[in-house]
Amino acid sequence: MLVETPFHPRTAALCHSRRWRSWSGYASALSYEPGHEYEYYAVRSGAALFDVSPLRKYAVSGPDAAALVDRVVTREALDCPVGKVLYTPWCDEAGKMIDDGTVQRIGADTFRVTSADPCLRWFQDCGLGMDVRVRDITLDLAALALQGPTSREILERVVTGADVAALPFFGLAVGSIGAVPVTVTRTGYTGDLGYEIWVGAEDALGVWDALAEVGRGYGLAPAGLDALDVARIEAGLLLKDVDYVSAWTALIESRKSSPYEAGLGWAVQPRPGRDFVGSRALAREVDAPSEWAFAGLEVDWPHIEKRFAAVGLPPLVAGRASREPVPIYAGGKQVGYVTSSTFSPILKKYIALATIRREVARPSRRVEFELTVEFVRQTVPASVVKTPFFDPARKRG
Amino acid sequence: MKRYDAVIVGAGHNALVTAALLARKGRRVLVLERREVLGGAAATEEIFPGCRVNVAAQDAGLFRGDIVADLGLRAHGLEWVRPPVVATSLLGGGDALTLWRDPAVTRDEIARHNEADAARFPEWAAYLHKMARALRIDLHHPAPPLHDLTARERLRLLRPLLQAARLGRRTIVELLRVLPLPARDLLDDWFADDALKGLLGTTALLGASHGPSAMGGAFRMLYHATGTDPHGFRSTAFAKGGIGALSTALAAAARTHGAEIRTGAEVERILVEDGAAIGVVLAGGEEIPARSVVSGADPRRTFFNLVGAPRLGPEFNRKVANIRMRGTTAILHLLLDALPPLPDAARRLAGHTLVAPNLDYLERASDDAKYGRFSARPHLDIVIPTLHDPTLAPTGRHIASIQIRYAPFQLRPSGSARAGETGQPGDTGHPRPKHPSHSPPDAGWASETTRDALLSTTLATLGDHLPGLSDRILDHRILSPLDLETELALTGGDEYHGQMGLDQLLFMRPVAGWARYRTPVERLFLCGSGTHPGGGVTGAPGQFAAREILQQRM
Amino acid sequence: MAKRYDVIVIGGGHNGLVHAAYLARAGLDVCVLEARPLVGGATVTEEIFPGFRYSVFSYVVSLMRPEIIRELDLPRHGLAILPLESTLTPLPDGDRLYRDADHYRTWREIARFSIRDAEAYDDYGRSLFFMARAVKYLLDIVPPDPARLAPGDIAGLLRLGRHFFGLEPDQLHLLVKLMTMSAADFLDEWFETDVLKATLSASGIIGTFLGPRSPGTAYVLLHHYMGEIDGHFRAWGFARGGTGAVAEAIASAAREAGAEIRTDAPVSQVLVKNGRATGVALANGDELRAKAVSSSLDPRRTFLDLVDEGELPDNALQGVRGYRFRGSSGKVNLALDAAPDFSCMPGHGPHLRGAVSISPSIDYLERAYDDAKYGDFSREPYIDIVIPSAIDPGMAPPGKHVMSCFVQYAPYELREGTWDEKREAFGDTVIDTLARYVPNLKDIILHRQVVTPLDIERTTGLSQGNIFQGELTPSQLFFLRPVAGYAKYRTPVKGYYQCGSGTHPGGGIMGAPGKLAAGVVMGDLGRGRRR
Repeated sequence: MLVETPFHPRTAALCHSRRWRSWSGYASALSYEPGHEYEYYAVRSGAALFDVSPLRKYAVSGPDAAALVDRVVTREALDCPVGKVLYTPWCDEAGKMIDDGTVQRIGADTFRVTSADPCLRWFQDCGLGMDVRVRDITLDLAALALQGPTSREILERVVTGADVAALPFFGLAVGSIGAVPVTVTRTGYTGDLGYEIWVGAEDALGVWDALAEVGRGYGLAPAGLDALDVARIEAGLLLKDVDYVSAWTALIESRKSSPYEAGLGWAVQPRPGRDFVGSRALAREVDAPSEWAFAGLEVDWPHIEKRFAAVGLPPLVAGRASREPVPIYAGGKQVGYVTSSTFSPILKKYIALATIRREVARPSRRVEFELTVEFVRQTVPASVVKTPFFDPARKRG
Repeated sequence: MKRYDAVIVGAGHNALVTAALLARKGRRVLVLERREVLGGAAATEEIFPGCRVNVAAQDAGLFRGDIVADLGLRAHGLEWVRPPVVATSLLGGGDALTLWRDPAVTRDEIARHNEADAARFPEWAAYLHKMARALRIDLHHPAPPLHDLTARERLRLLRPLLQAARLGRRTIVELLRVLPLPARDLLDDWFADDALKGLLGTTALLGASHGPSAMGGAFRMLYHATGTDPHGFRSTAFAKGGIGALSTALAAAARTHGAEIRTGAEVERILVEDGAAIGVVLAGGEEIPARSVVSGADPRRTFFNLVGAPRLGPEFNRKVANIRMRGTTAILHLLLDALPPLPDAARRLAGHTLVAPNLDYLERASDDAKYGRFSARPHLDIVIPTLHDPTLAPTGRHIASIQIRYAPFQLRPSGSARAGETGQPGDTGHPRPKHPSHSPPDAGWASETTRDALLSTTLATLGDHLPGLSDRILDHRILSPLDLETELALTGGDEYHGQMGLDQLLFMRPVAGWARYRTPVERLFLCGSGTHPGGGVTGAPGQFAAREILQQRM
Repeated sequence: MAKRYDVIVIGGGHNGLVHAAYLARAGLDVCVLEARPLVGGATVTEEIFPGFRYSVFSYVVSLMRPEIIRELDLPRHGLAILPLESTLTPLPDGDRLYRDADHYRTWREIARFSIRDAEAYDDYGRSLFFMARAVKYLLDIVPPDPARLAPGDIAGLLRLGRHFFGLEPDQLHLLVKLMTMSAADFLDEWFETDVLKATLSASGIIGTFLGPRSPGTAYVLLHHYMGEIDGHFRAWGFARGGTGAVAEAIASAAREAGAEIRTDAPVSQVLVKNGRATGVALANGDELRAKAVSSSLDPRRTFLDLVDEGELPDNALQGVRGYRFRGSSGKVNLALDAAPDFSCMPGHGPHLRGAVSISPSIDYLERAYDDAKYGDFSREPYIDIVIPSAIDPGMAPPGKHVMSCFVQYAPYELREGTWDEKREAFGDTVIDTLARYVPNLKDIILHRQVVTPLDIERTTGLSQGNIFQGELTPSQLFFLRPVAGYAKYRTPVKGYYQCGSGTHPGGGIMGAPGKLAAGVVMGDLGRGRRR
């Protein structure tokens, strides 16, 4: 049985496709129209509105709030200024990733943390002996992601009490939409200019309506998970349980990933005297790096076309993003696997996120991508590239 | 400034053993004790004017003989008293059942109750002794880590294995069968007499919050029979001058080897830098640097109060939080102007005097504890040390120290916990109608009313079994489980530093993965009862810890 | 001269039948002797009240080894196991805890009580999955005997050592915890919600004479997690046609393989000559001869009732005499005119297709145990309910239902009175307890059958009515089940074997003892095993 988010009265009315799937037990639209192309292009050329309420949300408060967050996540959070947001993974004591999300510093002693899956028990247990309180506010707080080039203009017209135009990348501001207090963060899961709006569940519909009203003039479209999946691959962003497996659910050691193995080494920020969960194991990994690494791949499109043409077919790989694991070869040996892949409508390329052996994870290294054409397995050439694949200047600008 | 090789937190008997053994090997050792007296729970203090009273522990029958010999404790004044009576069970109406050190006398005594049981008793004593010896092989070797054995550790592992092999494989199989048995099942297999089973079953209750029907009781019976005497029960040995004399002798031995001992010096915090212990901070703020820190405090106090949970991993902390520390004992000290009027009192009451008339009595007493109440009819273990050392009190006076079971540390309000009541409400944030929340008890052990209620319950039970006793009481002092925590630093009032259940032994004591006296903090070691092989006045954890520490480079 | 069988199997319960089926498939001439008019033992379906079919004793299937189902091709012989989808735990105040296969719904349901617990529940499930996987290894092996030094025993012990010492220290510790802790203490390490702990601990007390706070109950928690259906651990199922259908399917497979099955054929004695079993004597005086005799009865009957004490060495006699049964459970089977209406979940919801557990709090269960500890049945018992007709319409006439209520505690030994005197009072207690949660219950009861531990013993022969043929406690498991030195299905009498739940790996509709014992018998008779 799927439950409804606070926006369901609006999303249900708009979801003409009737394509729903479970996101943490919530009914979440895959696309509002039968296909997701329009919604995808809204992200890249207008604005798209995603209901992201199923994210887990936690309020961390108390004199040791910063100490707790700093202890849990791999990024340094102690000195994070008020009004800033951090994207970060967090790990178990063995330095393997448990989950990832954003850390919002609301005040000196107040944080808000989002995660893909429930982490209350972990956060609370990490806070043992600290003067801090962690509450699960998932049900109290609804969330929308407004993503796309026109998102700033829409918000500027809707939000009062905060200077949205001045909000920097990964910044946070508190303002109002109508009479409703909201938190706006310049964050998102699309790699484009975009914002997330956090609002009390009871006020959710008014915020949706206000955005929809103003957004009409700015190419705003409600968008579903299919469009989001394409956009986030273009942005090189990881999806938990697809691109990495949580240490809690991995069942076997080899399925677990450290942040280094998942391409999030930049988010591991050790400092002398800083003791975060997993720091010792991660320090050891720096000394003796893992044989696995994360990489972006560009699969050679002409080859794909050629392989399909050989059996008289058009290239049947465009369309939705794929979460099917696909083997990667080099020199006739398997060197890893793709975890997410998609045809990028904006780049006109076939792109993929992969876990591959460290020695091949170098930009422009050539590898082979397994492609099944008409029930026959073949390989096509691909190159290791830096992510994000698509990185418009407006994202940070 | 002088730099110590080891600062030892607490001067309980195990910590003193560790201190003496380290000092003997030339280590510079400083012992820090928060109280003014030495010994921790094995201390003798002037609780009544002019009287020296064993505060908590009474019996030292399990203390390891090789420690006494190695440290020359006799030269430091230690003298054992082994009274002719091991234990007397009071049966009401002036009746009693006594186990004597002399097996022939015991036999006659049991025969008054049950001929067949009397005939079986020598066989039982031999069986218990054999099984306890087999158990000792496991207990008297430091628990091996089960992983990544080094060649040397493999060799060390061979010794107990060879010893075990010599005992016979059938004995080992029988040990495996018997260890998890409830005391009741084991005793039912041997005896018919309720009084005898009640008496013998009492050692199964030590270090556990469960009654005699609970599994694992047989293990505790064997544990308390690992003393050297094969009388079919426990060793029953006292130190002349009170149990504190043992601690004093240990301290003297330690000082002889150059250890310093400071009393009135409460360690507030263990200093940790880069994951290693570098010293301690005293309550007054004084910092004492050291190459290593050894804690005689219980594991939870050591990790959560002294090191601080935030310095340890959350997964480790969960394990520490899950150590069952569940004190169920209160202590009553009585100052008497004469012995109770029991025939032959001076002899019969010289060992452990028990109110444990049968197993059902013990079971019902433990039932109360399950629901968070102290026993309406408690099990009592009375020791009158003035019978073997009259100098402990002014002439003619006696001290009776009574362990009261069960008095659970966690009391629950009566009438609560009916069907369907939930535990502590969590931070749900989810709508959850209906359940009215029951407020936790505000009158726990901190309240005089609760203690008075326990006192009158205890005195009533005493009155039933030792009529006339109450007329002889000149003074009393009651220690609730909460008092044991606040005064003796026993977390949860657990005098065993963690329950002696089968899941908290060997490689699992104090927590799995850290059974070798080491801790996740480098150069921080444990040496108290919370480590292998466990609680009671044995000295073994302190001795094994010293061995492990001596293998480290300083 | 009378016919001489290869193997005579005493008792036609599911283990006896599995045993016979494997022996017959190996080409042996096998005869099963069952005292009752129908096969199954405690695994029977009977139409006690016209039109209503009761699974009189055992009522759910989960532990049945899937390889036995495959190897004996039981589906072809009519076996179909339908999954039980959910567990409903009603609370006295009208609330409830409802857990089903919908992960997120169950999460939300637990989160109503505690979010921490909802999160811990996943963690707990994974941990027990690992433990079940570690222990499952034991289900498929004949226990080595550490007191012997035969090459097979040494090899077995070494393999065992490698298996368990290969576990991480934390996992090994978890295993020891499961073997020794109380269910309540074990669950305390994960959860804070009383009703959740209570209803989980209930599976730890089933079939034991222990309360949720008694050390040792955590193991049974695992034992019940080991059931598997379709490769998923911890799936409970219900056999179409009642549990009797399981026995009938196995019997059919055995017959097809050539086994002879005689009912109404109680055995009075195993014939022993020169320390060797030569056959059996039936109660009617007939004697049957065989090369080997296997008893699927419990250890007390197998050792003490069927053979002369003079044939047994002291250690075996003492061991069996000290072996503990202590039946603690009863059944109430009901024929209902309509579906029961639970006040916490009214109407005909899918919860009727699952189990309903009357286990509202740990204290509730503990008090129920306390009553039994002092020799009385529980005034407010733990009750585990299934409504087979909600899953399998063939069990009752259309629109009507059968309801199976497993009840604890009902101690075999009562301090006062007899079970014959107290049977109906016990039944009334169960109905009164249930009626608090099912207001329409008393109005829809057409018939009730009260089964006390004494009735279980009388009907099925299970000593003291213990459903597992002896307590599943560490002192009676693995190489100690039933007795040290005789845990490898052999007995002190040559040619006389044990194949019931009183042997490793124990009770429940599992079939493993019967199969493992068959391997031993075949080996001794010089027959290779055939798959």
